[in-house]
Amino acid sequence: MASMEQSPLEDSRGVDISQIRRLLQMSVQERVDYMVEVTNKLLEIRDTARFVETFPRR
Amino acid sequence: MTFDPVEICAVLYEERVDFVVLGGFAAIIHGSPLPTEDIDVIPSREADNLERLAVALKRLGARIRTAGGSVETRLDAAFIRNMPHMLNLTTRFGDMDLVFTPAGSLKVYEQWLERSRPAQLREGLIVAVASLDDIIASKVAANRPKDHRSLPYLESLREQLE
Repeated sequence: MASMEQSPLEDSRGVDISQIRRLLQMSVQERVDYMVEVTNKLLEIRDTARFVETFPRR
Repeated sequence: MTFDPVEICAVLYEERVDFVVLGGFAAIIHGSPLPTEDIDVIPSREADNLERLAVALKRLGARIRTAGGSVETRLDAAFIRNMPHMLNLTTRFGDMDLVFTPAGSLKVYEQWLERSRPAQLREGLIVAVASLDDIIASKVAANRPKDHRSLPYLESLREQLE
């Protein structure tokens, strides 16, 4: 979520440089494995998550 | 279906298909933090290569991808040769787009290959990956809303790599 204040991690484009630097510290194989895992997790969430009518009682 | 672009590359590699990886997955190999749900490749349009590509597509269980689902089609070399711009496919390892005329100044496989870099995706699997400059230039030329969203990340990545 965007904030009124710019995060110190963001560059002038609003991109979080820490995420890019973390990926650049990995080997190509580690980077590809990680991003493919992220993609598959997102696909899994998209396939299973759904909005419901009411909040559960707690 | 689990998206496994490395396995798609492995089948293309094993069938000795000449291709360059472009687009979002190529950007990931360079270090992009943006997930992508498909792999874009530009194949050589040499006749022998299209024959090998057709064999690979058969191994991948490739079907034409449409907005309404997938359609089984005979994806032989003649069919692929007649595709002018792009072929959207779905395979048993996820979606793959064959790009024949990418946006931008680089139009054919040989031009992309010349400027590509080899990347090892796993032991014994080395593929040609489009340069980050070329990926960015192609997205600038394509000028679609989704390209506008990804360009800040790719330009920041390029700065980090310099």
